[in-house]
Amino acid sequence: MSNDDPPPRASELIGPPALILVYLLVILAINVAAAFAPLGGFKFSVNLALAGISVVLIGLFFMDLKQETPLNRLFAATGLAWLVILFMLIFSDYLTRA
Amino acid sequence: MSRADRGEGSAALREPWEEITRQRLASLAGIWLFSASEFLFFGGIFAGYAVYYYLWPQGFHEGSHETELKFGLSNTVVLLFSSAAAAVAAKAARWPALGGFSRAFVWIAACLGLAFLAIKGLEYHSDIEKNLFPGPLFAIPTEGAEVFFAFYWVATGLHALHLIIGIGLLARLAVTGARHPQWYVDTPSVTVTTLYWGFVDVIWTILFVLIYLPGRAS
Repeated sequence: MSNDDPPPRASELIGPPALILVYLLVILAINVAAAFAPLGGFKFSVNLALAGISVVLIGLFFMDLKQETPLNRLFAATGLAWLVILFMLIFSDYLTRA
Repeated sequence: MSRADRGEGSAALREPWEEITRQRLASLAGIWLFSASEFLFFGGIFAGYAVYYYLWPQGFHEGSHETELKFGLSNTVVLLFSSAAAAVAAKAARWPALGGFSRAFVWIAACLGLAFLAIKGLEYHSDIEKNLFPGPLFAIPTEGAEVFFAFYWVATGLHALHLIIGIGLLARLAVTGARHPQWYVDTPSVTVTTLYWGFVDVIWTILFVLIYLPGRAS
């Protein structure tokens, strides 16, 4: 579908993804630093949480979920929702074993 | 709406759609549904990882300690740059005047994907030399470490397979787009392919944490 608006400058197209890329690289650096930090039992949770933030940034800005229709956002959310159910059912078993 | 707006006569319009806007909506819904189900496919692997990590934390830490952070980290950076390039390509694709610009970014994304595979190849080579492939010669005696590496090979192998398919799709996009510039402007394939590429990056972002980070500090 052709777009009749005048084409934007290259800098306008590259700028926003480049900014998100910088954020993602900073989060990655923090995540690797956290992996070497003496955080004890919290370390892996911190690593996973930072990866989660990266995934959200990639989804919202690189995959344009911010602009998507509600239906497509729902589709994207189902993957996550079913994964949560899978983990809840598995660990309601393993974590409660005597 | 004019005939051109509906995409009539466009090479990008496919059966059963009568309008390109509807085809675009359906294609985007399709790729999101596909990504969600693929996420669950990898989700089964994540769940297996979580259970075995819970059962043998020491083995998983020692296994993860033997992975090479320099390879994993450089691959993560390469793939982040690649999906940023794909995002630029998808944005630019809708303007006929920017077709060449957009396809240049598709090629950048695909070449970074190839760089990822090359780095992965070096890593696999080093892993095999260190006897980190599960089997009778496996290097780490701690219980659970071999399971960690079974996860490592299966998960990274499946991810690499997705990446190879993605590189093929990106190349197809750039080649067909160069031959048929109007098709490139009209088709939802550009968005669909770059969304798939973003999904491949999402999976790697999670795998990076599961594989390389648990065994770093004691």
